[in-house]
Amino acid sequence: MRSGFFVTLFCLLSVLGFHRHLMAQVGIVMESGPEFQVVEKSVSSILEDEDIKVLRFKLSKDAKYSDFLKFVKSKNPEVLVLMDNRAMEFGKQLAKEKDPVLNGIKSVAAMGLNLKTELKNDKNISGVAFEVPAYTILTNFRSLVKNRKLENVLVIYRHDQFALMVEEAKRQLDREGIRLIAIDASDQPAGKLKSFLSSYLKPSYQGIRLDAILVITDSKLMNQKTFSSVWVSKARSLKIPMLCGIKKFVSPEFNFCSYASFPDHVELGAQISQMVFSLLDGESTPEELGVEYILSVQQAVNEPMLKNMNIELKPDAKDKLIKSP
Amino acid sequence: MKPYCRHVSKFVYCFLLTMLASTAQGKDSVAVFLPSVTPVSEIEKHLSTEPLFKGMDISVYKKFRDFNSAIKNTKPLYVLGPAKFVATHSDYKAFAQLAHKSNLTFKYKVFSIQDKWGKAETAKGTIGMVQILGRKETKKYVGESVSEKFKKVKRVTKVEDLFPLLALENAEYILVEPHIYDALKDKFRAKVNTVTESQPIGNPKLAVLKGKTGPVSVSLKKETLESLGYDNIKSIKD
Repeated sequence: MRSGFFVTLFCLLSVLGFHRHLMAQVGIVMESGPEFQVVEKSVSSILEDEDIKVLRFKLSKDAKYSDFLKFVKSKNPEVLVLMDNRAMEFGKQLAKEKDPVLNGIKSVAAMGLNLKTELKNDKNISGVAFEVPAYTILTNFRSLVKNRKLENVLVIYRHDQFALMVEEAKRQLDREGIRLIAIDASDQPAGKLKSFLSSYLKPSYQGIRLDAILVITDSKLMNQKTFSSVWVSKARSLKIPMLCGIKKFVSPEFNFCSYASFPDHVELGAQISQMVFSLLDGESTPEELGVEYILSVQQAVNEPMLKNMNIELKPDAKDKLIKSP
Repeated sequence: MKPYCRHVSKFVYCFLLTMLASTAQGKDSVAVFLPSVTPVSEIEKHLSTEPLFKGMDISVYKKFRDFNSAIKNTKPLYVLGPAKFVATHSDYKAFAQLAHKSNLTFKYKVFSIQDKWGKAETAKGTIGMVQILGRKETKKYVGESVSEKFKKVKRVTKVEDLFPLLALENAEYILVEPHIYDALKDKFRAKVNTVTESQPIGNPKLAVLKGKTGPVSVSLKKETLESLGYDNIKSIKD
């Protein structure tokens, strides 16, 4: 009788241990900060709902690759979620390890800048681009306002950094009847950038009346010398809405953009999780998944700025907006 | 002991709170999830005027995940959701079904945005749909609904994200309910190609927790039905 009990107990423990061993493990490598926490929480809850073990590694300020490697070696994750560029760089370094177990770990990168370009030829890391696509910003804005057509939109960008994004945006927007007039500022020396930007941030371009200006968040074009004196100043003086992908730019403190579409962090977690499942299931390789555009966004407007430009919101617009930050 | 009951001096307050909590726990509830562009607050407003749900807690969910966990955790008396979802929940018994122009079924449309993704290419492409089922059931559901095979199925949480999924080329095809497409097409001007359509799919159903009795006859006001995207509701006979 007693031996029967122990045999049953042994079997039960073996099965539980075996089950634990079978549980897929996903490592989340992340920076600190509230936005990272929201995405991490979202990813974790979705994965844990499907009995996937989530292992977290928060990068300290001085975290080195060796710390990351130690985490990977000790936890053996099948898939890594790499949040921010530092985590992504560690992931890239991991792929160069000689050990096939380590260099074979597949990853999903997110919340990093310019992932479309950074991961263009990467075989081990797929990802979700953090920049809200021009397509999303412009079509969302168009559907919110009732008395402003959106046919010609100007964007100033650096070709060496954002060529792929702008090229794809042009194609996607063309289908929507929106012409994206892209001005390359790559070759502008720092000393001439202010005058270069000022010469294009105007109501029209080569005789074409502009309906909006799309703002790409790029620290080279939007630096200490140009931000207030050119970008913000033009945003307040021109009667053309500046549309952007950063929430705080529509706040009354900034009074810069009239409209912003910015990432919905909870849904970003869902998008990342879906890529993780695809990798775990062997449905796709990271290369096949590539870097997707972020899908779900939230929206905010700077109402006084819109009013100043005589742009009216549709009656149902308020249901779609979150309060200005 | 509840945390708010720690101090004896707060006994009365604690007693009232406990009473309130138990009352709330005992209240019947209805959980609603239908992929829709209508704001949740508007649907809730209409449902709260319905005699069928009088005195009940009404929760309308925008996301499947939230709806699914509410069903698991709170077991509402009534559930209004996609027919397939209701059919896969043995705890619930359907007693009514929404109708549109007297039809109890609809056919999904499959769209692509690039001409190269036609009917012959589906096996190489990814199809996106609004999440109405769990991850594992979704692929099976698409397989049962559409005769063409797809390489992969992607799910979006919100109806509004479906068209961008296609336009941003995160998926080559999308599976859309016709009334959702009608509501979305005002926002987007890109020309889409109709690739194929699904088998007839049952409209959403209203179900009652098994062991409880549903109403003898079912009716909803015209405005409520419109907010849900339908024009009638019909009882399901045993």
